[in-house]
Amino acid sequence: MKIIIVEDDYMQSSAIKSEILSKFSKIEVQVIDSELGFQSNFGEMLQNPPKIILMDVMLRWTKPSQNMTLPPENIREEGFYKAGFRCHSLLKKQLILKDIPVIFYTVLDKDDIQSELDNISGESMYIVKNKDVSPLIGKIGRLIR
Amino acid sequence: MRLIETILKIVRINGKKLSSVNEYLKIVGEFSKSYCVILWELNAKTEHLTTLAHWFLNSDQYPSIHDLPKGKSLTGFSLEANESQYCTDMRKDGRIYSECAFWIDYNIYSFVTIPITFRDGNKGALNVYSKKVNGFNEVTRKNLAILAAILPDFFQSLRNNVTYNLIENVDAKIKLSDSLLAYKGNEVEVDQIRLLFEQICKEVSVVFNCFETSIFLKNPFDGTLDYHRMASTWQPNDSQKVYKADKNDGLTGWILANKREVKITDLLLFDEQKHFIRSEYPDITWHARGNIRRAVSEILNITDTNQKLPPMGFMGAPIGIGDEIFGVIRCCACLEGPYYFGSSELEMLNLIAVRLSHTWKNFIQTNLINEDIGAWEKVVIKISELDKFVIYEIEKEVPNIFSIFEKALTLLPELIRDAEITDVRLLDKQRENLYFAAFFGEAWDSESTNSGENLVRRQKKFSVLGNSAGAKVFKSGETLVLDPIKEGDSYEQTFNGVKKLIVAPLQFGQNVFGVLDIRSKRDGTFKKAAKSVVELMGRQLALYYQLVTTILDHGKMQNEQIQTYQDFVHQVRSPIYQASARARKALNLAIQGAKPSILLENLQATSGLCNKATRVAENISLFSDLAKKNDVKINNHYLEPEIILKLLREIISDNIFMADPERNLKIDVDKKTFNILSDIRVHLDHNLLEQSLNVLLDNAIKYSFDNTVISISADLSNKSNFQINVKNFGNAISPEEVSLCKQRGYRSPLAVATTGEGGGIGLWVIDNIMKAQKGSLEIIATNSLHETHIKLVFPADKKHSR
Repeated sequence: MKIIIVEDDYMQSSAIKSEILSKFSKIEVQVIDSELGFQSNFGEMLQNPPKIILMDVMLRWTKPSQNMTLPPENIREEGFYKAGFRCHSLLKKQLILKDIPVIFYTVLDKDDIQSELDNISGESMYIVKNKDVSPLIGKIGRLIR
Repeated sequence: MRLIETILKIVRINGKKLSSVNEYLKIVGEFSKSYCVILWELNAKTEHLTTLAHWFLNSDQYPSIHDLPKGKSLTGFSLEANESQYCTDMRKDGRIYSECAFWIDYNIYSFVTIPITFRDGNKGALNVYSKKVNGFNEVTRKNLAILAAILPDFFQSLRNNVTYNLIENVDAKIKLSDSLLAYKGNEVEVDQIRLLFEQICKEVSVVFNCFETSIFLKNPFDGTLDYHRMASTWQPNDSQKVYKADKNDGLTGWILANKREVKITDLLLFDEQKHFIRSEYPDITWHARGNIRRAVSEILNITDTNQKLPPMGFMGAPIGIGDEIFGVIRCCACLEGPYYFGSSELEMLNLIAVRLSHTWKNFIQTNLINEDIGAWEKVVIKISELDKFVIYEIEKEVPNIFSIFEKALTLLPELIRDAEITDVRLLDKQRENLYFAAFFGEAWDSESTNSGENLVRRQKKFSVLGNSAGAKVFKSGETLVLDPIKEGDSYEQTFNGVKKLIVAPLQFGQNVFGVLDIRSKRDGTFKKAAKSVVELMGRQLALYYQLVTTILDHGKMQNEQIQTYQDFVHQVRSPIYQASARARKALNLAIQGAKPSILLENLQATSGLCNKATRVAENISLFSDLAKKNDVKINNHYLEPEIILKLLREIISDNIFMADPERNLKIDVDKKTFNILSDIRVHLDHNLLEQSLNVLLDNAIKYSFDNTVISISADLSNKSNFQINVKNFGNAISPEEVSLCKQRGYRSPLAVATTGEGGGIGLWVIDNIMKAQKGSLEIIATNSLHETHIKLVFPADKKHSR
């Protein structure tokens, strides 16, 4: 069983990953650290769909590198503030992936992203990043069961 | 006694219409108890006698023939001999040839023909016909000769009277209309003139007994050079309503082309007499035969298509002053005698044409002057209307400049008559092309039937280095007027058939950022004020553009500031939550008796995260002061080597710990270089230095490529200033971005693409706090594509040896 964490802050992704691995057994955790990384992993996700996706909302487009791919015009204009929701809408277009629960795990207040949250459905949900990770772990536990 | 009574009757004839001559013939007919009386006139060129007027005992009858060859008729013989002739029995008289038709058609037996000479010199004859053999005795014939002798004077007097009355009536109507127009001031509409001209047409038709009198005029306000029917007493749908300026055919076209009057005795004989007609009017043509025959037959209630129609006279005169032709007035086909227009009628028509010319010229000039005055009044009104729209637009959260442009374009045709195709083109972000920001006019949709072509046209771009009208104006900053467009005028055509254009710059100060373009496919030139109106509208639109851009920038800045604070909140909240989580985990690990190394790792993370949160909080405070333009609070101390090295150790430790170890980033501090601090004294705020170094290192880690080294060193500048250098290898700052990077809110496209946080204020804050310490932030644009070199430069003094 695989859980994907989409998070560009290493400190956060490493802490969450460590927390998940300590709480659940037989779980594989994959960290994706950019929007482009999410798009690049799409083929693999179709072949091996994850059980849950933890999605940060504000995401960088890509990591710095010598031959980095620049974002397309629409993404340049929209910026990184809603990158997590863009990734989510990609999932919803795929029959195999559209029902995967997505947990939007973000420091953003609910009010800031209410219009986007109104469009999520099924078991997808929003959890605010907090010093207490137990709500997140509890939710993951329920979804795994 | 009967003769005197008859002459008295003639004297009492009401002579206000030319057709009153028919009453004269009636009196003659009744006096002589004849069946019909015909007044013939000789056409000297064709040597044919034609019916000028007639009277029949049965009023619904018309002569079955309308022309007699002079050499083949008794009437002609009488003229030749200048002596009355009497035919007692047409069946037996060997002198008659052509008149036989009267005997056959009307059962006429005898007639008298008396030669006369009209006062204009034309010859003619008064013929009196009877159904009896030897229908006129000698006394009657003598009396008829007396009545014939006074006919020319009567006819001339009638013509003079009619002419005088007609001119008087036309003058009265023009005078009345003039005073109405003067009263109405600048509201003179063409329909008012049309009404006057219709009245004149009606007056002329009544006086000359014609079924058609028409006036064709060129109207400079309708955008063509063609002559349109302004007024007419005959307006069937299939009649010609327009004479093209460049295609002068038909009788009216000939008058327009040759600027000469035309008089044709009988249009029905046009083909037979073409030779004679063209000797006077070279190459003249006539096409409307069918229309006019049909119309006259209907009016005269003639259903028999074989029946000969009465003669159809025609005359027309040019309306114009000097060489300038405005149009034509024409009269056609008399409904009763006299059927022919004489030279005096033509002279009268010319006189009326002169009056029409002055009236029309006066109308045009008044309207042109009024249009000029009115144009500026309208400009004020329309700009005021546009202002209201702009106020409404800028009250919106996000004002739309394109809506303002579109609104302005819809108002332009009301200011400039021929503004058919209009657009606003703006310079694109790359400053390379002008693109259509707004457009208006039917041609934008109707020029192509293919919607794809329309789309291509709308998306067309014009290089500012090119030869388009817009590019020329953009480069020169001067308004371009091609009015009319001549062969050889070079510009890029977006539409076919454009005949004139004005393009004005959208300019604010020295900055041209677009153009306002108006084009027209109509003939004629733009009105005088057009160029100034387009320039004024261009300046106005430039002001609106500047206003909306400023509002949007202001709003953007406000939004950016809000966004920046939100970013800070997230940046500080995130490490606090994580620090808290790590601390809790460390506590649990300690309780569970975990290995010291694992415990230490979590405590280090907690400490680093707390330090990061503290620095972000400090940064918020600095940003807040700077944003409010408050002075940066400075607490200066001398900087010692060990202090900066300790500071660097802490910052590096906190930052590198938070980077993904898989990136394999290294931070190298060249400690030896900091020994120069032993020889110099640097006075600075330690806290601000920590903030600056933290931001620089945070940036260096964020933008460095994996497996690279970030190096930190110190040195002295040429001016002996102390410098701390931070170099990294990653997304570099280009030379063009050096100054931009110090601006608040600037984030390079590469920075935006590779970090999911930040508001572009880090370097702006450093720049300000360095300036507050009399130092500077220097960003060195290197030749390397990927190397970034940033310096913190502080003033330094040499230490004096004790």
